[in-house]
Amino acid sequence: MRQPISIIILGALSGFLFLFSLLAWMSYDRSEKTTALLSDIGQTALPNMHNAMILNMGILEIPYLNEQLAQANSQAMRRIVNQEILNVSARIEQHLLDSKQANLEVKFQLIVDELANLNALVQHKLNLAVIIQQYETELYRYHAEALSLANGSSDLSIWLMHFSSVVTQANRSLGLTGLQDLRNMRVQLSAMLNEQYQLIEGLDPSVHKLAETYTLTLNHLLLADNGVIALRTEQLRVAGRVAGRTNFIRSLVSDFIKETDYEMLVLQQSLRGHITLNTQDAEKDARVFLLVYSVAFCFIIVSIVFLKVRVLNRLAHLKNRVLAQVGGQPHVIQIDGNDEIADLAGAFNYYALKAKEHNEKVEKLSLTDALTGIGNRRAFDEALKHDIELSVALDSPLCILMIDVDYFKNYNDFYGHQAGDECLRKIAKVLQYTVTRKQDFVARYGGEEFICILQDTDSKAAQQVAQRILQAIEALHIEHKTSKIAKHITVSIGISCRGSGGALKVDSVIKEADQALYQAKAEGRNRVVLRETSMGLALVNPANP
Amino acid sequence: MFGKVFESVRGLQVVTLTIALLAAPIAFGKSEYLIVYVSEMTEMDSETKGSYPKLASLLSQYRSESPVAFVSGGGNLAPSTLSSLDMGSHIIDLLNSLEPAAMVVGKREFSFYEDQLSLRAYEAAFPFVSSNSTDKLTQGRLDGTVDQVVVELGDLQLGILGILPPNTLEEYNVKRVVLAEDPVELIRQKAEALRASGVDLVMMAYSCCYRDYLNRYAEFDELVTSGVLDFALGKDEHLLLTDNPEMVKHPNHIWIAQGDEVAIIRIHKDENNHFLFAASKESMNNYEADADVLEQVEDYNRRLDTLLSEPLGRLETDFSTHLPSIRSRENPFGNFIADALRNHAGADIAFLNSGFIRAERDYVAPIELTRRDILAELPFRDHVVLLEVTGGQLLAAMENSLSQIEDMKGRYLQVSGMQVIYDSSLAVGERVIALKANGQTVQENQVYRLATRQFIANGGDGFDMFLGSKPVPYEGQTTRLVSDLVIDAIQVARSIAPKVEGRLQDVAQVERP
Repeated sequence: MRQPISIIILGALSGFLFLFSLLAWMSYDRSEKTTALLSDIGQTALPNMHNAMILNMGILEIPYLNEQLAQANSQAMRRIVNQEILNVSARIEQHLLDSKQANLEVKFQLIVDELANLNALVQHKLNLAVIIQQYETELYRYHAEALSLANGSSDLSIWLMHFSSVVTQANRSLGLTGLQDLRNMRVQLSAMLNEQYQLIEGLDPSVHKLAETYTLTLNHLLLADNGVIALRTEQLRVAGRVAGRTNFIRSLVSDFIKETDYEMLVLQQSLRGHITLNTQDAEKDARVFLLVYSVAFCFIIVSIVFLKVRVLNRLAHLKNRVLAQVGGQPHVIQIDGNDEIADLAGAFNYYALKAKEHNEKVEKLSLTDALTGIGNRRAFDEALKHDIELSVALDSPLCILMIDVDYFKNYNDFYGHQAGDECLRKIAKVLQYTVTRKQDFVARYGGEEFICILQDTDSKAAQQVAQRILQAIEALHIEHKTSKIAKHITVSIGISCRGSGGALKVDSVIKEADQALYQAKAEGRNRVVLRETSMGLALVNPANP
Repeated sequence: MFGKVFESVRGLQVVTLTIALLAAPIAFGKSEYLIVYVSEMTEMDSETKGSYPKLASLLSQYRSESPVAFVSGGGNLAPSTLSSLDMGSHIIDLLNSLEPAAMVVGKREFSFYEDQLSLRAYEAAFPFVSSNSTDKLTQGRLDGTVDQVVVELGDLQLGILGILPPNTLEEYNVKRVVLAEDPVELIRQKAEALRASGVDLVMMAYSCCYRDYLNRYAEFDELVTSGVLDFALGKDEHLLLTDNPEMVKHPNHIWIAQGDEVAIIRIHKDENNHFLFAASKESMNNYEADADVLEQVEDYNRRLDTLLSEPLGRLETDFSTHLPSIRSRENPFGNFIADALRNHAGADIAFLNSGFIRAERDYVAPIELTRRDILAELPFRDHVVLLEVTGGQLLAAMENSLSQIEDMKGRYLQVSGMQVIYDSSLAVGERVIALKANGQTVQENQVYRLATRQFIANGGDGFDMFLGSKPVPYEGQTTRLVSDLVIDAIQVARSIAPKVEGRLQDVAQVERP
């Protein structure tokens, strides 16, 4: 199945881009959420708690002020305390407004109202005390006056005694703490005053008026609707009310403080809940983030591995193969896979093949042996044909030398192909230097075979040439450890000649030379063997004695 | 049944006395002294529970005729909506306007415990009488109270004694006060001592309730019969609920049973300085409200109106908080409160005693509940506690809860997170048949987290099985009263529909009178 690299790389990059974007978004989102939470804490929760604290601190002053107000013993003191209460209340009310706590506002308003009420009561209480004090003074004054006026007058003495006893009783009333007792006192005083009137009846008319005036005034002082008894009753009630109101305010404030404590607790819990939620959220996000990051990381690793293995390695492999090709033997490059690189290999193989074919064609067309630079087989075939025709036409002798390198395969195996090639080149050079006549021809016949055409040359001369070749090659001293007959490269030469007269077939000439060569090999190599074609006889001529 | 007998005896007394009075016209014209007695006036101005402005008018009228000793039998300071806020100060203020000779300290005066009672005593310009109680701390009188009062009634000296019922300490969880072992003997001794010191008349006022004195009742009656006491007065609104054949014996041994009733004792001293007593009952509602006292009442109402009228939420179902509905069977409102306790404390189960719920009202949905409604029902200021208790303790608690079902006492528990199946016809202490917590049968040694009132945790109403349990503190516990929690719960829910859910089931299904 085709696995196009371009798609894969595109996919990988897109994938990575996606993952990266995801991570970036997650980071951003988390940072946004945290910022929002912090902002919320900073703008709502913290100020709320701060407010609650300030509120609590303010409220704690109230019970003390409450007590002070109740116990104020002068209007001035009362006013001072009340002003302080108003200041603190205003502060608290402002805080309640700021933090928008409606239910606390209602409750605090009640406290404020009750304090105002208490203030009025205390004012009343203090006024009453003053008035009663005045009455008391008045009573004493009256008594003293009556005493001084009536002193010395025996008529009034009884009335005066009685008058004094009424005043004494009245004084007692100011110390009574029970309302029933006061009521009883009123009844008693009323009865006593009636007795007074009766006493007055019996007095002398001259003092009658005086006594009556005093008694009436006393009556008024004591028993009128705003008299001492009534005032004292009122005083007791007001005292009770002040105490009750103070206790009530204390209780209200205590409840209020608990309420603000509770509100603060609720705030705290809400904040804690908020934070916990956010923390859990953040932890969850972190886990997901880590997961996505791990995926992205693996993805990158996989991508890198992929790039390395599937792209870079194979490209390197391809490059090596191509270079190898260029340097040496043409092989088909095997690159596995079914993608662009495989296509590239295929393309190269195609071009390599084409090049090889071309080379082969070119080589086929050429007459030069690529390796040695001397003529090739094709050139030889043409040259032989030509020379034979010429030899027949001129009736001149013709000789062929077939030269074969001894144990060349061994040499190739042992010293390597390149050494082998170099050896052949050297031999070719030797032949070129040895066979120099224009009419002579040297060619490479096969792998390790060379062939010479000696025009207008008889067998004797050919043998001399062959000897010269042997010697020259020997002079080369190309080391050949695996030769079985010498320590250096040697050749075997087979000569076939055609004398004058008689037809000459190409095939038979070559065949004769071949046979001569064979014989040379059979007789021990490194020698020359001659075979005359026209005679059909072989003349053995050892190369070297 | 008892009611009818009572009424018929009453009628007989009145007839007898009327004849006696008619037969002694001369005595009428002679010195007459009046005792005016009321009790249990927890509301400022109510048709059914007594009205201070109207009582003021009644007193004015009688005071213009003869010397009057106005005695309050106590039971006034709580429970009421206003009391839940000011712990009874407003009642003392109103009583101050009426100038009582004395007020007897009743068990309800201990609703906010001893120290608050003392504070009220100092606000009062009249004596608080409590003859049979002693303060453990001082070995003397509870601060602000006296053990007897001698009042001048015209030219007479009247000695006033007042007693607390024996179950006060348990029902109101009073720790510092001790009650005399033998109240009858105590009263006898005090009465005799008073007479020896020259007092002309000795009276005793009971404080609520009638049922609490039943086992000494005959003895008290004997005190009256034998002349140790000249008369004894008491009031109990729920007197007619008592299923007991004990009857009032002596005509001077008087109990009134209606909320608006006033007992009037006319005392005639004849030429021989013998006293004749004529007792009658009147309704305060026959009088016009005194303007000054009415103004006082309205001032209190005004001041607290904004706070109390605050709407909390809607009620979608009906329920009643009359005693039969709340003290002998599962009650929807009781369920709601118990649920609120449980949720606040995060407990497994919760319960509270039905005696905590006071207004004795009917609620017909749909209505808007206000703070006033809730404070009227829950006037006692109490906190929640969270306890770890065993199944054994729970069982004991349940048995205690069911032990006074016949008397419709306040210890009957309303529950949350529990299911109780019981048979009220069985013997006391053996009434629980099945007890479950959150669907599972309660195990003797398993530990449960229980939310309840401080009152119960401190052993109030006979729940002493919890005295050893250590409370588990939790956040927000001390800042909320139970009434606050209920108010919170209603406000949060905006609309509530409490129902009977089968949490408490009586197999016997006896009809309560």
